Amino acid sequence: MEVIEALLEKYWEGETTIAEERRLKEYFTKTKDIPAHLVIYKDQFGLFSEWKKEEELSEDFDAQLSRKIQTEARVLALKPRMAYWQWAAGIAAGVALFVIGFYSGNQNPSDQPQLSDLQNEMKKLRETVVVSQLKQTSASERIKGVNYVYDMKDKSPEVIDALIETLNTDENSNVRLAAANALFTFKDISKARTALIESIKKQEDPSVKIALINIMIAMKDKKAKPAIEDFLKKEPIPQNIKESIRKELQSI
Amino acid sequence: MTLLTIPLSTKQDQTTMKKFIIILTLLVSPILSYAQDFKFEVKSANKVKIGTIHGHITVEGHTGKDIIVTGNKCMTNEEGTEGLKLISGDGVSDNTNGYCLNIQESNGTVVVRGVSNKNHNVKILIPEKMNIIIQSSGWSAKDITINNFKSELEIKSEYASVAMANVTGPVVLNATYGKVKAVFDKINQDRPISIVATYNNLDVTLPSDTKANLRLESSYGDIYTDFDVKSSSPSSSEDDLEKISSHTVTGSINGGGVEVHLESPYKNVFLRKKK
Repeated sequence: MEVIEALLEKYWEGETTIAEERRLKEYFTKTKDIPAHLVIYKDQFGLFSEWKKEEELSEDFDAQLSRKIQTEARVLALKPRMAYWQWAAGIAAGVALFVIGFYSGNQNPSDQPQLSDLQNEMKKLRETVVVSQLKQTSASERIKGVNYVYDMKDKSPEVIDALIETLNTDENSNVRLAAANALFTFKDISKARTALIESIKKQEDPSVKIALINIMIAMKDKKAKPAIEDFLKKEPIPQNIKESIRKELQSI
Repeated sequence: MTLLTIPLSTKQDQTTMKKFIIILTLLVSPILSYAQDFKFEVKSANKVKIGTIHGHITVEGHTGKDIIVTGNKCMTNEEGTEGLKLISGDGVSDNTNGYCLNIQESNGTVVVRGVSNKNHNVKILIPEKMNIIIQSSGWSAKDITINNFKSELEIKSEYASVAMANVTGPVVLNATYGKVKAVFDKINQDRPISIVATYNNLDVTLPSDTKANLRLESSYGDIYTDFDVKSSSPSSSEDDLEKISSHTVTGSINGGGVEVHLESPYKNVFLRKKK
């Protein structure tokens, strides 16, 4: 009896050998008078013998299997909608699990890494949306993409790169303008800053140029001085506006 | 006309004849005036691109399926032109019966090009659901008028002034030297509106119940509106000192909605309520 108890304990620890498990099984299936405190395990170990029966392949197993496959194939063929429905249900279940995981993760501090994984996923998703939106053929779609950036709290390098590319290469001036304004919100990041200063050389439209000049003045970055001076020399803008830009330039 | 000379015996015959002539005139006159227009059948395109046309152009949405050109023909019988055809710098020639335009469809886009450098005013009727792209450059391009579109309008105009009415957006418009006047119908909330008039005034009218997030900008001019704009930039924050300029208004009207960016860096921006 003590042997069985010891084996059970070992079993729950997951350390029993196959021979020892067989021993347990034999004990619970063959012993008639199992002590009261052990009888609760009878069903569990008794099941093993039934499983074994199922595991033994009957002689017509192959025939049965192929019949079953055929029946199921027919069911699938007749009910494709059912399959879609199941597929959708699977996704719904997945989403539910995700949500549950999210909340349980919130409660358990040891699950914090998973939570940040999820946040990273969301961030990546948002980045992908912005980057792909900036490649749309319609100008208003691209402006919409640029505007998404204002809702993003994380300053990701991918998004900054995409904005810089849009600022310098988009065929539409208003999209470039929107990109310049959005990049200005990243002005504390040196890459964005540098791009805003260097971009004026790549611009032809006067509305984009003056927007960049205003941004450079607002950033008060000494590196922007030559670009602003060059603009004052070349751009045909009213004299009084030149004067006021010149004044701003002195305060940089 | 010989009909008129047939002697009519009775008074009844005369009235019948009059009726007949009136009906005949009614039937024939649209055919006659239609014959002067040029019709281009659109196969599958959903977009029309219009290049520089020298003169005043009116682009109007209609419920029909074709593109129809009306207005002044530009072909004159100048000496020496007999037996020759007019060709443009892009190597295309007039294919619109004397409207000096070249219209072609390829890859889902209809392209309309001006062929002559002489001033001529044309009106182009376009199915109202087709998206419109207009690229106009050069000082000889006169005003551009755009009416009745529910589709997307993308306009780049160097010298021509642009006036649009009865449009819903999305509109992306950039005019360098010309002025811009735009009167909107209930605006499309799906995609933003962005209008820039660089060296001239920008005057926009929106229905008074329009829900929008506004960005109104004028670096060296002023901004005027009769809308109640709820400013979204808190005036007391430290950031204020770093604002791009004191002349950028960001805020919402009627609780906010689609993004509307209106900018005239060197002149004024007017935003009016539709009355």
